[in-house]
Amino acid sequence: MRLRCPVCHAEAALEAWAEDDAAREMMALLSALDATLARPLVAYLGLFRSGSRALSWERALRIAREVLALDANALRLAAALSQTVEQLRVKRDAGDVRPLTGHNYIKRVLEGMPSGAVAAVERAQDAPRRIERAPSATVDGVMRLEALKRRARGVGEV
Amino acid sequence: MSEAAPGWLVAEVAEGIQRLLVLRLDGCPPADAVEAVALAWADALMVRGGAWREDLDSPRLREAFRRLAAHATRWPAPAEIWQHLPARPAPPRLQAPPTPPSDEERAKIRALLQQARQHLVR
Repeated sequence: MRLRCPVCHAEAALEAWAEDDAAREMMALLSALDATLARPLVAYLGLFRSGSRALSWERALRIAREVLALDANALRLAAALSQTVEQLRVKRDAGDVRPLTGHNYIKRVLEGMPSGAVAAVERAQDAPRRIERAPSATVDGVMRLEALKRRARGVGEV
Repeated sequence: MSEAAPGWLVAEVAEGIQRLLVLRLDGCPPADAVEAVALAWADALMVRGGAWREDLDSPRLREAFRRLAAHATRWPAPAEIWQHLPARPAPPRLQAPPTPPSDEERAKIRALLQQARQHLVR
């Protein structure tokens, strides 16, 4: 069975995707996220794809981990991802089709995000699906380790 | 007393623990303990491994965690990483002489060795 990613346009047999370590890890990561965060995250990954090349699983996984480590508040991050995707899609529609190469844009969005933006997203959720902090223990753990990696690489000894 | 783990080693171990964490294996540590788990793994590697070098060992550790993730059916102990750690790359070998010595050169070398022996046993 062949599957095609609607965002990054990578196409391969399901068996091949399951064989790829990074693809498997990416699927595990996404399945651990609440849909509120997973959907804008997948759309955000699509912004890194160039017009001519599919995004490799290794790179997609790295980008996903990096962006999940940007903010521990899943709702705030989901809101920032949605806002980034919307704003960059407008730019793309206007003819600027350059792929993203880093997270500076979303960092600026996060910096400028008023608390009301998160509240608006929160209000839009069904009450049982509200999440106050990390969407799952797995992602919470991944984010903590991402922070540890940054600290470890930033200083000589930990 | 072993030295504290260098930053690059902690970062590699944290990357490996991330890889294991997303597999959600039985016995997986709670999210609020993963940093302590990564630091304990790095310390265990220092106690048993000793002289780690980033240029030689960083790719080996990454590969070891990759293999461990492929084989683990429940959350592993730090000792299991050693079963999956590839050997360090062999140092480059000395190149063979471009051409083997000729018969004349061999005879000359033998004569020099003979002279040396006579000089030594005199």
